[in-house]
Amino acid sequence: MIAIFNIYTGSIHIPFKEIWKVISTQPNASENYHYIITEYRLPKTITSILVGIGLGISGLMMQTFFRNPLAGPFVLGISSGASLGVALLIMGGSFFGSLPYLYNFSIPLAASLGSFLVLSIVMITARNIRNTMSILIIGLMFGSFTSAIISVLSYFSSATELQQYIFWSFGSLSNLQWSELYLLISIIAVSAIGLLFIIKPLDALLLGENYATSLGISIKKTQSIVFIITSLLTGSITAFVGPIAFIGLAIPHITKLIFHTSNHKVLLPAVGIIGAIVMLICDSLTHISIGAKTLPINAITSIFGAPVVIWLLVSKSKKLGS
Amino acid sequence: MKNVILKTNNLNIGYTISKKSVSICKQINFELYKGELLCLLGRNGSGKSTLLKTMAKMLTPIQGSIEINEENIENLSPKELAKFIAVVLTESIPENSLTVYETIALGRQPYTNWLGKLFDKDINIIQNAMLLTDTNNLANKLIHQLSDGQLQRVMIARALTQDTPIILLDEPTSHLDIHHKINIFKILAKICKETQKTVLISTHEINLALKTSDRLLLIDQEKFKIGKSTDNIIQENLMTIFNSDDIRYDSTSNQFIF
Repeated sequence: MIAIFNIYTGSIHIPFKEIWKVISTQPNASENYHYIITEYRLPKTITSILVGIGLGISGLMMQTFFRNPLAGPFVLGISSGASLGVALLIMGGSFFGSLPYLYNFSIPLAASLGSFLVLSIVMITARNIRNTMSILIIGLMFGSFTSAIISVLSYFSSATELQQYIFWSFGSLSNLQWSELYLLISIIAVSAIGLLFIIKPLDALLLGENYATSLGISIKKTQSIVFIITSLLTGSITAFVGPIAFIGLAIPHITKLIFHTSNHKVLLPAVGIIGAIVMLICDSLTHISIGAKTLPINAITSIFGAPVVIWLLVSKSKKLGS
Repeated sequence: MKNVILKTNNLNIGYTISKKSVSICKQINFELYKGELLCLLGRNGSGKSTLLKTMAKMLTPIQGSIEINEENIENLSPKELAKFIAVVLTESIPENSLTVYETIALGRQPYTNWLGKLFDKDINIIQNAMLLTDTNNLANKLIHQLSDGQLQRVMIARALTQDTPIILLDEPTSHLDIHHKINIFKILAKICKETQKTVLISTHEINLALKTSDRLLLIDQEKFKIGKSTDNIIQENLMTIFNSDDIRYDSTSNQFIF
């Protein structure tokens, strides 16, 4: 239902009846509407759902694995790596001469390369570290490091380049073609299979690393699976839609507050569903707010999401207090 | 002949700081028998927790080896080891919203399928453990709403649920009132007798240890001793470890007097 409402919202008004005609593939649907919906709105709706699922699940895994409520899908440096890659592509021109430029294709590529590079460095540094908290801090340090480089780049770049970079960093759900969507869907499907192997280890980790070990969990193996899935999910999402903030951090909290459980058998699918719903609502809001102009998705997720999380936390502690 | 379940060979325990290993206790050689209750005594920082963690493979020994049923624990997979040894630790549990029942049920993890589904047999074991530890009235509470003492009983129930031949407990009674302290020692003694489990408790409750344990393990100044509380060598060691102006060992009543 929210998905249909999401298709409904947009700069051109399409009546619900027509949307239904297109979706149920009735022959008398209008050509124009059909084109707008199948080539633009539907991909965007599916993108929102996939992004919500992927970031929500990654966030939950990282929070459980690091046993830190402030961990999110980007703690391993994926978003900072992607930003660095794109920043180098767009603004590095003034340093290295203009790079070969294929707009639609080169940005996801630069983002993937950047996040892969930074992720590899974080992983290699983290390999010999026993303490998982240190890995978290190393990830954050790499984040500061890359953002510093981006600051330097932006200082020396032209206004248009800067604007272009900032527009990318706002995130956009509407740039995906069907072929890219199929790729994203298959990545999420593969990750879902991986998730089946770590439901029990994640539950055991709720008691801390030593108890998990005593229950027969291999921390190293779990760490590898968690990191691979998170990198696949957030890496591909960031490459295609940009660094979507907040969702990965907030969705697990919202889900835990609604479902009152720590059980990952329930939480993992629940986080996926809630993530998808929240992304759809956020995307709809970007279109409603100011008629023809769409707002940046990254701003919406935080403007509407942050108060919701604060409200949920406050009302929860009130309930416990009374 | 007694049944040996666990054996150490020239075990040297300690920890590693920047690739340098620091030994806490060397030449540890002992055998644990089936159905035995043992207490591990020693001053703060003497290496009690280190020994227990090394036995549970959470720390690697500096030298020597540990065998369970004549199999070196280095060759056991984490899951196999989890069917031999259950632990109760002193460390605090990270923030979560697990209920008491869910926490205790986690003890069944080494036996359940990939989804962690509990069958009738598992549920029976869980309920039995809750009954023994007097935690069944807490079942639906969140573990973060419990007092320290209640939490300790829950963690003991969780270890019992793991249904292993060996249970290692690191100061399991430190937060308990005197009633539950004695109660826990009684329960553990009962479990040893009835189910032939081997229970090793590190504790500062010297008098309770002297009364309930079959044998004592002592660690003092890098030296390790094992024996019955009536053995001369154990009594001598106990005196050197704990005797001072304020506390004295009375060998006739087999207890420390404050």
